[in-house]
Amino acid sequence: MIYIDNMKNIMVKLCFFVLASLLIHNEVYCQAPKPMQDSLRSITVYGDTVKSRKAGLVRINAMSTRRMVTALGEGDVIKYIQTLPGISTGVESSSSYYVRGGNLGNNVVTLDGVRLYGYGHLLGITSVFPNTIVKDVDFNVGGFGAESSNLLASHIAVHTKDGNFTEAEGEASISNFMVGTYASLPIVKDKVSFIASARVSPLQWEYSLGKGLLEKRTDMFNDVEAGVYDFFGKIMWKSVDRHKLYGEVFYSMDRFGYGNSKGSAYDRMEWSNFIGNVHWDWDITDRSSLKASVSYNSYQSNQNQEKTLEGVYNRLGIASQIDEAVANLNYRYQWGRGWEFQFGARATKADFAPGSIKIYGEDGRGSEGKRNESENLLATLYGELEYRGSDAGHAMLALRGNGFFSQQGKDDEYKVYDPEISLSGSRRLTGWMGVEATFDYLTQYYHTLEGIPLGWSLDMIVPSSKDLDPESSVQYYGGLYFKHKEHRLSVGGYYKELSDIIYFSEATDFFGSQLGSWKSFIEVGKGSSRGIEVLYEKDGEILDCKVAYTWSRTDRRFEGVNEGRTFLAKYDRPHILNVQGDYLLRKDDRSEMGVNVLFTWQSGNMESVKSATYIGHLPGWDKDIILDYYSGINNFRLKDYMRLDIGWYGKFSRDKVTHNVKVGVYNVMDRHNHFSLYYDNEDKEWKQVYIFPVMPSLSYSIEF
Amino acid sequence: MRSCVFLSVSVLLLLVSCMEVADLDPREQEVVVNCVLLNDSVQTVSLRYTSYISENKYPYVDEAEVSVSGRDLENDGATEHYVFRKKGKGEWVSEFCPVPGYTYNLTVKIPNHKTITASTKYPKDSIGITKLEETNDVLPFFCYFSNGVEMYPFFKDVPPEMLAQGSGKFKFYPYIFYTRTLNVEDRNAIWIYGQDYDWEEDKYNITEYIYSDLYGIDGFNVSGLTGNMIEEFEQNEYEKEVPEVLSYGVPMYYTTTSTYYNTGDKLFYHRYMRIPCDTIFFDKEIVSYHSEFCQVIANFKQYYNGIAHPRARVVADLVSPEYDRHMKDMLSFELGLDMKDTDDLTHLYEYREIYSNVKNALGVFGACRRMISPWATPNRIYYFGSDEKVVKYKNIWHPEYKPGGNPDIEYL
Repeated sequence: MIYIDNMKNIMVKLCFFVLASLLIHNEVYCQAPKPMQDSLRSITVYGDTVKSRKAGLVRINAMSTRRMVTALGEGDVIKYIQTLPGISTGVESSSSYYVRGGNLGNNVVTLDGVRLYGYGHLLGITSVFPNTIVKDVDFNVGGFGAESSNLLASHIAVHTKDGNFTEAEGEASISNFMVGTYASLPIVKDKVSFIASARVSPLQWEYSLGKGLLEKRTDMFNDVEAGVYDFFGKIMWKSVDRHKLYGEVFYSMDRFGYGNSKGSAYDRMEWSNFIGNVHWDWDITDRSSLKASVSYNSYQSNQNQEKTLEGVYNRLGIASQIDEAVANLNYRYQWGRGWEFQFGARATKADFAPGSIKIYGEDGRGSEGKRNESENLLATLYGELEYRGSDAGHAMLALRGNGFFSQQGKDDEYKVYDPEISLSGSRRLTGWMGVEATFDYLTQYYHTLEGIPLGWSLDMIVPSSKDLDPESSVQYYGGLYFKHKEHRLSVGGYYKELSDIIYFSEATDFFGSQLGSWKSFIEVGKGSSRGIEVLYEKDGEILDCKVAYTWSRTDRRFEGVNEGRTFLAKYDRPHILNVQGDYLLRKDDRSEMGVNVLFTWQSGNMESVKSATYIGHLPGWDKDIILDYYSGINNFRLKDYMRLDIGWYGKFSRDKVTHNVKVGVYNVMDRHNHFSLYYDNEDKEWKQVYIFPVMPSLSYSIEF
Repeated sequence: MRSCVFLSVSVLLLLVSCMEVADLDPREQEVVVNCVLLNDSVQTVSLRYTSYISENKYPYVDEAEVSVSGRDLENDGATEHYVFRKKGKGEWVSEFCPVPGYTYNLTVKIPNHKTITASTKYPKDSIGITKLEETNDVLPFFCYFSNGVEMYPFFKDVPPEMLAQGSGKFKFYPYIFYTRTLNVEDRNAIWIYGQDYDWEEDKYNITEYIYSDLYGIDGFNVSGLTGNMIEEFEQNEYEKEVPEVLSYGVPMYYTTTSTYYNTGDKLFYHRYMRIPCDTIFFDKEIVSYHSEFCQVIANFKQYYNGIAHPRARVVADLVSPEYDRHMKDMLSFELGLDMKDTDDLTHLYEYREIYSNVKNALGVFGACRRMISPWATPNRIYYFGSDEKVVKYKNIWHPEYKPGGNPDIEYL
């Protein structure tokens, strides 16, 4: 009898474990298996039945991103996201990403719910938030929850760790371009924890050491200054009686200068983010909870160009500043079996201050400046009804009502009210197959004047106004998902229509956004995108792999561009294939090592390439002006993008110290993938710039 | 750490050196049409082909049928046809003078090519020069007065006795671009530029910089230079002699040291000033634009003793909207190319679309009413001082005089 009881007990525990694993597994459907802890490889137990899931949402754990091979050696959330289906990337190695045909500015990145405008570090090659502070990341591309707003394409919600409430832990790391440290410790055991992280790029020191080796063909790198760093601090207090309170600050800075400071030209650029956030969670009962937060974030960017033209000192400067204060209140209530209702209100007060300055002559006599300040308020009431009680089905309805008020000067007031709706549903059809769908009608009040498509953080952001209506989109998605043992597959199609999106005609001019007159350079128009997304994943104890394929078509139409004819979007890439593999070589109590591979093959993006040249004349001027003829905008598809990255990682534990080593080779095949083009007027030929041929990287961290 | 440093430095090296030739020549060819109807008796159509981007050859069109038809659409008038004849390589001409307010249609038929068509409306309005055309008179835009440095634009004959009263004691007629008929709906534009006379080559060259305090100038081509940064405006010793000898009506060689209208800190425009007609109107229907004390300053080369050649001139073109847009795109393009530094990696390739109103081809079919005003009219210059100096300056101001010649020989 005792034997039977023990067996029963074991069976119950085993079943519980399997179910719990499945539940976790289901939440992380589009990712590598969730590890038992952040830095250990996962052990996954599989069930045979497919479960319903929240369509359009991918939860990414930090481990998936830390092992990736990147050009800089730093694992990165956005680099991971770029390998998912439905995502088209910008130029080589950048953090720019285009989701289901949206623009770069249609994406939103938040850090614990606070918007992060300048999320690119190191000219956009990596992101500003360090992996060490990241608990997980929700990447949402459809069926948006009620709290996601002011976007059209995607939401990257970065959630930071709570901190260690029982013992101190720390980590120090170094990679090609970043040196960082992280620590967490309990201030009051089991009650108050503290996390701090700081990173700095050694680029300036490296430049000083290697300056003599730099090619002297150009003055561009004669004088280089680089200041890249970030800091994060968080204190969390939790009580036994259902309260949790935390305060956090985050600051990041990127500052670069290059050129010849004593010569003809010198350029400077910088951007910074500051976030302060206080957040309170209160579990009122087992079924109801209240969440309140107050945050402030400030984003600044500056570009300065100093040049001596015809012997005269010239300085051009543009600057952008957004100061945003947000108050958010949210109430959740669960009832029945799996039903949950939440509603809330959020007020976002945002002051925009883009400005420009021109200075001519050392004495600055010919100076002029302009600053377009505006005060804006986005008030949102939202509600969400969600059903997630059954493995067989999931459903969600989110509604938002927005009121946007903007004032630019005394007489320039602008008011607009918009509803938004998001629907998401999935249903298991058989034991191995399910169906899912989402629908979204969204509105966005901030417009990004997209410049050089690097994903860096210098693009000017302007609010809606009398001249610029809010952007909006309608998106439909439907698909099937399958599961057989450790194999999972999803196939889906989407269609998206964008309205009142903007086209910035000075996108490639470094100082094109002469802020005083930016309105003269924008066109308002429409866009559409359609695509098929396929994702196959296999999770195993030895081998994990992921294959993501996207077929898509994205176009744009603006009355004042391309004679009003529809044209393909710049980053329309019909075929995108990403294959990832992670093979475990060895694992025991004290060590773990493996190799990972990423192969990416994508159709080339579109460029506006001149088809021919011709002669033009201006009156009174006896000069042949050689003009460019384009048969259309974005009329030429560049050659395919292809890259293979291979990495090795090792983890070695001894006593209380763990060493992590990652060695990677980016672009093993040495493909000269396109970064930018220019036409050499002297040689009469096109020149292509590529920035990352074979690129080895090394990163090391120590945990204690 | 050492290896990290090496790798980072190698990245920087790669950042500046990874460039290669890209084969992106689509090998497309198109016909380019250039035809601007002028207030002249002969109209010209130019036809060429584009060049492949890897070459620099712009072949002429050999064979084409070119015709223009004009009609007064507003009054439902009869259609007038003009057939062009081939005159030279890629050039076709026809003798007719366009009629203000008429709409003209261009048709070009080239073997094995789609029929090329375009349309434009000849400006119905006129700007000041109408008066000059009627009287066949020429008057300077700007004159120098005895009381110092003020400059006034003239389009009407001002009796010498009035001038003698001094600038502050009589009523001028200094309206510039005076008109009663400018129609805002036509969206025309005025382009003003200076043309310096090269006496050695016997030809006109456009001045590099120009400035005016006229209202409504488009700032798209404003330069980074102010008056005191431009070489031609540097005051020299010769200038000081001019006011002692010359009196009313002398073309002003403007300096930046003037008491009034000091352009030392004013930004000049690259070669042209564009004034969209929609910005200068005070009334949507019928307006007149007058600026009593406006000035136009161009950097004419110093001809003699700090003054410009008497044949230097200022041109004002009233152009149709198509031609205006085409010109603005061209000038933007040209200035953009001038300023680009191809070594700068932050400058990515830029798409620039040149406007064309020609269907099935490139180029422009536009219309332009041109007025030319000389910088100086010697017969309206008043001199004082010693006879010797007066003779000298009369000769210097004679259009036939050349520096280095004998100023004692009287040309007048």
